[in-house]
Amino acid sequence: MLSMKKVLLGVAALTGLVLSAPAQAETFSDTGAAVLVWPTIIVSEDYDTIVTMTNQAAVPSAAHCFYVNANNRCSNTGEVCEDSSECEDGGFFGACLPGWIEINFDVLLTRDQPLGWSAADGLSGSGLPCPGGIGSICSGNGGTRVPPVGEVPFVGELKCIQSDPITRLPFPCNDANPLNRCRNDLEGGATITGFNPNNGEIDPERYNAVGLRSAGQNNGDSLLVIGGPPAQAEYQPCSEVLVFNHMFDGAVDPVNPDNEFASTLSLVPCTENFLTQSVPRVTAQFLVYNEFEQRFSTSRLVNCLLTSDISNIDTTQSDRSIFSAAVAGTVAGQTRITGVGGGLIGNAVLFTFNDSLLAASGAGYNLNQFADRVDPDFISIP
Amino acid sequence: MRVQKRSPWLTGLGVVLTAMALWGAQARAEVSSDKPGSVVMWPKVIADGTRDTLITLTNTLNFTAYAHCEYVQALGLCSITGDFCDPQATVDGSPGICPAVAGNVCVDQWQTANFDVVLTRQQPTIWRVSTGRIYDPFLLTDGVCQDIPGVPLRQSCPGLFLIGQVPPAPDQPFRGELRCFQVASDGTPLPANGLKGEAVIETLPTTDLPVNTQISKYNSINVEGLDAPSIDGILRLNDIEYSACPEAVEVTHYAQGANVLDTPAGFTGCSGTGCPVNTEITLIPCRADFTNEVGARFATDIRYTNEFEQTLSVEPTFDCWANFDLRDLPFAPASLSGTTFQRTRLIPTGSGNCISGDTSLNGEENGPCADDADCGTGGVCGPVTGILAVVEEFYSSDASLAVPPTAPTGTAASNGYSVDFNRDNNLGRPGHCRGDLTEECTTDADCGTGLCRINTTVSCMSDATCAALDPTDFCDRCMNDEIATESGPIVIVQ
Repeated sequence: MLSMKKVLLGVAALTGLVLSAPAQAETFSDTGAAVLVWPTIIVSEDYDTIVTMTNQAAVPSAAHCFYVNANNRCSNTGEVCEDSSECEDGGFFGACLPGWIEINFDVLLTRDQPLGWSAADGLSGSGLPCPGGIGSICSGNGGTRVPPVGEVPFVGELKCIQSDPITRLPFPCNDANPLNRCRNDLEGGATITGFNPNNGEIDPERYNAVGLRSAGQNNGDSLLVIGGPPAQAEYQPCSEVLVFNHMFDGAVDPVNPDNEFASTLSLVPCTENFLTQSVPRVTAQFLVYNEFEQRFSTSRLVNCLLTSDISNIDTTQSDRSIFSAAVAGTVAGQTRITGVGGGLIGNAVLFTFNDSLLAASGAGYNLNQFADRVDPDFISIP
Repeated sequence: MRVQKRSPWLTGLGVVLTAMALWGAQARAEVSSDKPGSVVMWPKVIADGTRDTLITLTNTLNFTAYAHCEYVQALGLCSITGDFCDPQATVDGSPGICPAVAGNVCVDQWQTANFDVVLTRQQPTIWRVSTGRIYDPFLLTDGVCQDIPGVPLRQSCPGLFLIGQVPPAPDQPFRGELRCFQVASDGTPLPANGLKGEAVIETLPTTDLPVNTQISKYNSINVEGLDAPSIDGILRLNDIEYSACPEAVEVTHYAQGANVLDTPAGFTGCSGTGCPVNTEITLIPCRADFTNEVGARFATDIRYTNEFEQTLSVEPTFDCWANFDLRDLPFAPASLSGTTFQRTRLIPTGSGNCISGDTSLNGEENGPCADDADCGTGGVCGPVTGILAVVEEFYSSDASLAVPPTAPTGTAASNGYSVDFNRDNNLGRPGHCRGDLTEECTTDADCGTGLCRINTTVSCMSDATCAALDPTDFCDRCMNDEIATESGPIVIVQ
């Protein structure tokens, strides 16, 4: 007869097998990386995004960067739109279609250097801290030319790849060779800064860029392999699941009961083709948990970039959304986001606002993640 | 230090559970704000009457999670005037300096208060630090928390809250940190990596600004569990039992007092002041002793690099928790350096700190040491602690600087970055050998003969040698950060 201890050990083993956790994911918002992704860059009449990029290394670093303009546009007028009601032209309405325009540029960082720029204004020429030449107290930023985003309003993404400043491609490297190890020297941040012209308030929303670290090898070509079979992987994989903690929209702020919470979520695909400028399409599946352990679900196509109030992800009537406190019933929620057809990267902004007094404040933050994607994602660059 | 060896059979059960729970986990893990962990830390928690904090804690696993949590009160107060202060502030007129009154010095503290949390599978939860939370199953499920009048004010929110209640932060005004440790229901540490959290720091309304809505938010910093603790009550952050803390951390932010970089054409709210941005950095040590209520002392090389490649460093020593404004440090303000942004790298320094013995040698608890002899009879000189950081920026405007202010100061926080300082492609800091802290190590095998933790003069190669003398003793060879926790079963509060 089995002893009680053996029985318990067997139960424990079986329980563990059933409950076993998959491997932890490998994108980072809190250490240096070889590819940086800023999922939310916003410029409008009252908003600008201040981008920072810092070199962790004591030697110069260079990055080849891509702004992705994800503004929706009217099919008839070409104007930027949020929905088709804005696409009226001579009494006829066009469709408001998602767009995808990429512009690229280079950033050169001196050793250990922090650098920042306004997305609205860009950074180049005499604006560079170390342009070199007469009168410059340091050199090394020469060649950096960050253009202003192409239009206002602008909603989009920024992606930077640590690269050779001459070829603009990743350095060929292999960690097996101590003299040619792969580098993970870039760290990034962004502060979406709101300027309220009515009361003179500044409202900053700060988040860290999401980084992809090297997988220990890179062939230096224009196809970046993210995850997948170890023999091919050049960068560590995107996560299988993004874990997004949030307040439900419309929940009352426990600290300031005159205020309610709202959140926006931004998602971009891990896979992007800057070479052909083809629009990547990934379906995001959302599993939403409230504090009663109740689970809701929905899904939404991520067409290049999804930036949405969370209670508009599944419906246009936010009070009926599964992300609404009116439906979920609790203040806090956990949403697990799985990309189908590709990995996803994201970030979020929490707002607390007083509707009657038109006062609001936001705070950006990064998502957590869980488990590695098995299939590779790819970034193709020119 | 109180140490108890658990029974071999319970240890075996724990190992099996842990091994199964971590099935498929990667070999190397990091202390991270991106991934769930088994030790969850919120370095900056404020409930001081000017700001309050919402804590969210979430179970990301499909089975019930239990956590022991510890608030650490680390408030600095001026001894006579009672102002908030920073003991390390050295610059006259800086925010952390006590007003110039005879005998008015900054006194900080380190007091802990513990509580438990139970989370059902995948459950998120939230509580307000100043009020805690009391379970009320009859509350309307409308996303609204209800205040419970009293002193201090308490609060109930809709949702399951199986622990019954979380207490309000102790001894308010409160400034300090919060740590939670994932455990089994009997209180045994469980490295199942199911917990994650966030903190939302909110500015409270004032008479001048009755609608004050500024918030900052950051992710908790999570330590991944790799293997079950081998010593009861001690979590070893050594990349074997739990992931090791980073070698260094850094943050990029506006240089001290730099004006906000860009203002839209239609915004005139910076025309008078330029809208200066100030920065606070919060540091916590990875090492902590909640069993004996001893916080870790840590010296930090604070190294500043601006956009012009100019570098300067200072090396203050902190007790247990540090929250300093850049104006407290003798760095050149942006108005002199001309830089808009700066990177601040924070590197643990020193040879070692006394972790037992006469820890008040040199008049300092946890004082610096080079070897055991520096720590008195029965002393152990351990490696200096790793550190973790979050950064928060404060955006002033003409309106927020007006007297009285007509708009709040904008706030934004984010997590710090780990730095692979020694460029070995491993973010975790190496250990150091007992008896020779200059020697780096990854495992015990990298060190020579060790010494017992309690019977400090006895040489050892394994725990068995020390346990034969005292069942609570163990062998120190490769040492790294440790968190000594208070053990005991989860307590449901009715």
